Amino acid sequence: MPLIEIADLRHVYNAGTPNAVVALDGISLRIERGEFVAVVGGNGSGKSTLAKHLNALLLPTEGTVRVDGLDTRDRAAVWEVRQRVGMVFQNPDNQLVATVVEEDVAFGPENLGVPPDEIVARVESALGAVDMLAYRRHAPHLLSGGQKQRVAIAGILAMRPQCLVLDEATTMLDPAGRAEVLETVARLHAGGVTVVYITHAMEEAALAQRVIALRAGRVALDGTPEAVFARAEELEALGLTLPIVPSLARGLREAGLPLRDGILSVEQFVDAVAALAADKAWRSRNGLH
Amino acid sequence: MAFIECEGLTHVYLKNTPMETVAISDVTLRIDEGEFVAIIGPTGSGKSTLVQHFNALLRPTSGTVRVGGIDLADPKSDRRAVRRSVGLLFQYPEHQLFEETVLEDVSFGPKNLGLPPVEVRDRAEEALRAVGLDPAVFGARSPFSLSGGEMRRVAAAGVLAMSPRVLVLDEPAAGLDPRGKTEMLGQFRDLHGVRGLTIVLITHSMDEAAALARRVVVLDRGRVVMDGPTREIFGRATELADLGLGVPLVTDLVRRLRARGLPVSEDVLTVDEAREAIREALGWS
Repeated sequence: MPLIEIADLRHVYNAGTPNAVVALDGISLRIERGEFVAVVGGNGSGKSTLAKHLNALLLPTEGTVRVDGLDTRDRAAVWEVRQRVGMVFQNPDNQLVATVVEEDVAFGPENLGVPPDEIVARVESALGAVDMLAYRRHAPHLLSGGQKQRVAIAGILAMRPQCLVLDEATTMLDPAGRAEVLETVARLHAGGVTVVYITHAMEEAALAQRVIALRAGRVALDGTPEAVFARAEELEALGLTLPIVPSLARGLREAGLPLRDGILSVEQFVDAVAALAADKAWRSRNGLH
Repeated sequence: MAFIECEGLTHVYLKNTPMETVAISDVTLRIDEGEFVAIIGPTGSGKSTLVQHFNALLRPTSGTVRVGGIDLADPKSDRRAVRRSVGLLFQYPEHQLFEETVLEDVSFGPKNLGLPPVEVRDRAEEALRAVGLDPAVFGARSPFSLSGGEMRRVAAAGVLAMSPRVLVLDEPAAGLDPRGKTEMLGQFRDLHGVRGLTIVLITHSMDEAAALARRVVVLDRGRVVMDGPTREIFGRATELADLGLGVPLVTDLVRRLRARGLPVSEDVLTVDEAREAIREALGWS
């Protein structure tokens, strides 16, 4: 059974009024346990609406969303759904509620009725997982943006979720803050957490195992980053761009350099160009072209 | 002549309270008319505090700020004149749209200047065109029916309608999708290149700073720690990394190619420059 199973999902805001807006228009998706999925798309393509369906913050107008087999429309299951799927939002200043970091992290499990001893253990392991144990008694408002987002992630981890949904969680952060959050997400994923990562930053999407591109509330592209970022024209038509490294590789291919497809990271690029240089040097030494 | 001139500028929030915070400290900086300057620095380094002095939203705790010759430390100075000459586009400015139509929203500022209605309308339409929105198509629409990128551009038009000489932009592309970002930044490039506006851009994106600005000012903990031509600043990768900042991705990539023995020019800030430098190094042209 996949962790998340979405069938023919439609979401209409203000349904039945003259202001009705179709935000999701027939989405079917399966997200397996342990996947790291990036969701990209232009403003208004439905990314955030989709995210809010993953933990029952929104309910389908039509179709179904199942989380670990639970139908999100089943009112009795809402808290079970939210315990399984936690969300991190864009603004680090809107998500922390307590005056001390560890109290903030304890807030979720307290609401779940977890026994106090267990809460202490969970807070400790959640703060450890985001590398913020040293700040447990600090005031959240004095932390940097990246640290605040890590505390927000810890607050979700303390609920022992199976899936973490991040909705543009790095948009408001400086480069160091972005790097902190990305490292944390990669580490949690390596530890078995399913990650759904919504972003406008194509460089960040390239770090996922799978990229889903939305347009006008439908899935337009769905595949590995190598496959999705090989389709430059289609991405452009969606209002998206290639990440910088694939874009540079493409420019060089168009200039005639025989660079392979599917280059995503700086390391892959540097290896490929160095190999090309070595090959060229060998050929010219041997009088070949 | 410098249009904006700070000397020993210090700003302390909540002075003489237990919450006292020194936001910027002893900043000396001159920005000439016609420049395109990027201000970079980690969160909390004082970027937003600094630029709020440029249009008289904040008054120095000590030191001086002169804008267009007006000394802002002087309580009798003409702050309104300064606000007209320096337009500030805040972060997420679309949250500040409020009128019923796009044209009315953009007209709000010039109307408050007491300009005749015909000129108000001319200025608003001109400002909309400058941000790539056709007044005939967008003028009568509700700002709230627009996409995020369009709303952001309406907010920018509202600032431009005041005919400022300097435009201060605080993270103008944050949260926009890739197309919205490209369009928005292209418009600021044109406002500088074609209309000659002086632009001060606060950004977290080294790629944005590299692609647009000719000069980069680096703040750290309220102080100016680097200030120079863009190429020179991004040549100082180690120092930037120590501040939690970085260099444009292609600048880093080219450095790594050099480390692998490829004779690529180090002086690379954009994707186009990287492509040409690599072609040349491989003898592929």
